[in-house]
Amino acid sequence: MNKTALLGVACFLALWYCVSGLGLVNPVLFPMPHVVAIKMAELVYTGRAISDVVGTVYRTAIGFAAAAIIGIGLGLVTGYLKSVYGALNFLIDFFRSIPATALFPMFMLFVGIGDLAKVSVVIFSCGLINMVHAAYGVRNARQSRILAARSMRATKWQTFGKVIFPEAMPHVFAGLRTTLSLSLVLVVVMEMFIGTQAGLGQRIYEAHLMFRIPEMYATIGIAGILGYLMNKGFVLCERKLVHWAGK
Amino acid sequence: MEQAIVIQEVCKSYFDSSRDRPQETVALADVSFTVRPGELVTIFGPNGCGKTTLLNIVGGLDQPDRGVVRVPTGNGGVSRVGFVFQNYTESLFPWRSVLANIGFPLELADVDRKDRDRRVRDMCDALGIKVDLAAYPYQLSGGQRQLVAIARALVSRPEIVLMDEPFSSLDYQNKIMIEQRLLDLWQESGVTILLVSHDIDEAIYLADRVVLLSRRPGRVLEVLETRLERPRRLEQMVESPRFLELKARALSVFRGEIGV
Repeated sequence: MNKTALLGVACFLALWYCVSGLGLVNPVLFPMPHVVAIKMAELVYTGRAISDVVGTVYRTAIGFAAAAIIGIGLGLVTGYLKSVYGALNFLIDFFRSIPATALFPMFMLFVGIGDLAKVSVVIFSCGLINMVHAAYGVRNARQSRILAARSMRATKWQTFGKVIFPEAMPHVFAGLRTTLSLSLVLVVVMEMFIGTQAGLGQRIYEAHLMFRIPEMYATIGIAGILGYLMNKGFVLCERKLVHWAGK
Repeated sequence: MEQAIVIQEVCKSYFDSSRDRPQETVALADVSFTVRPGELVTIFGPNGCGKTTLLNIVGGLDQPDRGVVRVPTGNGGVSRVGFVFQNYTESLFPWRSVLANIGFPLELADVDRKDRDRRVRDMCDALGIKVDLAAYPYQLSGGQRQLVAIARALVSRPEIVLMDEPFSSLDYQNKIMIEQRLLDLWQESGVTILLVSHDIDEAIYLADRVVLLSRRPGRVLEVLETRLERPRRLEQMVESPRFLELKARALSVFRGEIGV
């Protein structure tokens, strides 16, 4: 973290102290930062937060990975086959526009209220996003590079595997970045909505119901840190794996 | 002597749907000429005269509506025609290192890795390419990138190399340097080159023969035999009477063409 970023954090904490300490907001509903920090440390130290994080990460990872494999696979194929793309374009756009949360009840009907329900919603919503990005990437592969490969007598399979596929990768990664955040959001919301044994969403909601306010903020903080680290990690991978994007 | 490339009465039209009223545009009308093995022939003509279309047809990337193009057919999977495109940025693969870019045609033909890398290094030595082979194209200058593209076209030891305005997006200094290296390599290897240019000095300086194409629809106006001594040096060339004579001839052909 550089100096300016540290300054930003310091200002944020100062503002928080002011609002909470001066009683601008009811301090019971809005505890001071150090109270939240101590609670956070306690949750981590006793291991309660750890099992929540593991549960949430586990569901997010499974949903994200399955959505990636299925969505990108289907997207590459639909993008490559022009007529399929034409036929599915509207449908994909429509289904993608349904708010994912509106689908919870439907998925609960089919797969119950276990982890499968949560993961299914992630796969459906994020899979469609991945599909759109992959198909777009294939359709927008540079003709000049495809032509270059053809001029070297590349077969259709070689052209697809060695040119069109890497051409689509920057778009695919843009989709993955979106779905990584969305996976976490959906999992946390569903943990609140459907409930679970261990999960950050469930912990936040329960703390709220039981009026354990510092615990609620502490868990929100942990969820924030988790999301931040996931994004940072992803961006690092992306820079390594699609180093040529935008160049 | 057998011809390396035979182009016979080639016609090509395409449908231009980008305009308000889509219409058929004739790009090439009865183009015929031949290229002898080991010859360096340049095609010179105004923009939009179908030069690129013609080259694509010769390279098998496009089909003529009428007419015949004969080039050597592939043998053992390795392409016998190499292609250098105008836009090196859009024809190189940015996800591949220089080594893997140049080795690409060999990889397509299933040449094994060790052999591939050795041939790439040999080709780089021959062209005087002194870049880190592990670098990616976007880390190179424009001139270096075009050299990589030329190396890629030559690495499979093709009999024919087709070049579509390969120097047009280079700065002057790079252009002169790369032209020189190409000429040296061409003389050593005996490869046949068909090169499209929109720069008459370049077209004459490089060529054994210059094919002058008309405005659209492209026809062959005249084929100039340069008969200039080799090896050539640009600075001597531009002052030689023969060069000036050829240039004057080309200009008068085009003056007649546009009617001024």
